[in-house]
Amino acid sequence: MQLAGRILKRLGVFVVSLVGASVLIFVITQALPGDVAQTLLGTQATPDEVAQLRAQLGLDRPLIVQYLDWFGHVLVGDFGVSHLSGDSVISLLLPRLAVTMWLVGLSMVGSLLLAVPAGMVAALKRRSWQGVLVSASAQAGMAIPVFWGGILAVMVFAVWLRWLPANGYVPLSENPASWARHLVMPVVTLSVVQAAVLIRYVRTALVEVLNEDYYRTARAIGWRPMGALLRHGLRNAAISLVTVLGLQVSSVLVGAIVVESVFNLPGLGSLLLTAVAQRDLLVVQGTVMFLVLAVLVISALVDFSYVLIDPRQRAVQEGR
Amino acid sequence: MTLLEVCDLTVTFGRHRRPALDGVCFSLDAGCRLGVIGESGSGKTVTALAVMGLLPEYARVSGTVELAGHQITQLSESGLARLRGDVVSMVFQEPMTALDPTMRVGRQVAEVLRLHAGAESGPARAAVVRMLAEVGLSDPDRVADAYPHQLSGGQRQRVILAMALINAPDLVICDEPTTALDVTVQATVLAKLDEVLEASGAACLFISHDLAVVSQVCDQVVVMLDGRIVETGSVADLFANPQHPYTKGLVAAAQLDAATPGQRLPVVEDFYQPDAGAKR
Repeated sequence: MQLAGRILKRLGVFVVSLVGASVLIFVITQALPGDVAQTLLGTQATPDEVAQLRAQLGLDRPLIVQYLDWFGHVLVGDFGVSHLSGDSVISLLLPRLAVTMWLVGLSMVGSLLLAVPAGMVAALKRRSWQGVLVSASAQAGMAIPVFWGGILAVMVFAVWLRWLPANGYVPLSENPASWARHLVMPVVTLSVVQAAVLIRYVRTALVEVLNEDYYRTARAIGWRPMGALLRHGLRNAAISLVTVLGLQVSSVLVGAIVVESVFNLPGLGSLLLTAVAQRDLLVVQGTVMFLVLAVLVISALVDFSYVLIDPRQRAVQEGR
Repeated sequence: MTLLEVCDLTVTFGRHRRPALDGVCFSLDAGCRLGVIGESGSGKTVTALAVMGLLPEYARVSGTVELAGHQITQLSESGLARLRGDVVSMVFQEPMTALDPTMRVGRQVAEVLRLHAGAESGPARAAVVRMLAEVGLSDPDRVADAYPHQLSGGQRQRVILAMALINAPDLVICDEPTTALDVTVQATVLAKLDEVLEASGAACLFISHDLAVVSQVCDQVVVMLDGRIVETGSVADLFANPQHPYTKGLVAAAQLDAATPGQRLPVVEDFYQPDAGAKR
């Protein structure tokens, strides 16, 4: 029964966060200087014409009414219509969502594939040059801003070596090979930058495991250091790493927005940047709501992944 | 036949000038039991880890440890790994933390088999359950499927005992195996240890700070103090005729029935005062 209670509590937090986020997003977008009516009509428009268009778009109503109108529709999946293009926000979002999902998902996987082995070396060899080298590289990697890393990658692999396209995107369904070629650089850039941060956490978690009695037991029954760490270390380290991963999702999303603009990928990030520049507020609100939703869903998943990783958590929930 | 021969073993950690072990020598015959007694910091656990080849990499080691014909201090990591769990095994002090909390204990015991004999999972399971029953666990099937947190301290220590014995090693090192258990559980676990060692014919290096416990399990004792062996002998001799003042103190403190009612109990410091210079 405790599990049900925990799910309910988690749902409550979820709903409150979502409503809170929606208010914040609405207030902040309203506080932006500039006006979509002005953008639509251009600099030649008279104040009367602007006022008329604002009334037509419903922008002259009290803010609270506008908010309730917007959020009420969001709740049933209607994110409104872009004032600029007249397309529904959802039809703008969905194709771009796929691009961002690929970028973020592959980068998370990529950063783990880099950080876990590197963190193992850094932990096991922490007293010799290999470990110091890994830790130092991670430090250096953390100091590299993601846009700079992206530009550097473009210069080397697209401009000098001409191995990969410098920017752009081809949907997977259209041409898988070309899709992969376009995604390699953005994914690797984001993975490397995220991995540099992760390595330190992996190393710390594994060094803790190395000091645990059960690691010594594993060595005493005949595991070599690497074997003992793989067999008995990773799962225990994962308990603390999952938390970090959950927190990193939001930083990966932010990184993705930057990477999308460096590599000119048509994802949520570039949509968001354009919409902000043009004061297409409904698109801005819809996109940010989507990002918030993604972060909330992932952190809820993280919360429940403890139960899968750590049997002691299950015991608590079975009401022991 | 000599199973374990430790000769002039000296271990220093990092930049410490004082060695943790200083010229330690002792030997142990196959099937015999040797108690190593001393206070914390006297080098008992370091001795055990040196025999296992499990000293941390920043330890500087000189002298020799010869176990069943293998020079432990010269062996490679993979050579040592082959011996550990097979020729020599270890029962640790902390049953609460010595098992992997995320793995069912049956699998952890089975791992010892698989690492060395390459056993299949079916027969391994049967052997594990048999071994768990042998160390006195009343419901071995259920225990094998339990996670460590679902077991009591005494149960966990028995599981660790099963891990140490399942490959029928030549030498079992017990590092204060009962210290973390409460007294009643301590007695039953000790009796079980005695029984299974007897049955398997394994030799035992039994580390403890408690002379009374050592005298229950062992025939021979070495007394350690500040990284040195100060006295060696049979348990009976040591009790009857302790030589070193520190040993006299230990014996007096262990013989509670010899104390006069109403009087203060004897403590080691009544017999032996470490000189301040050497201690600090």
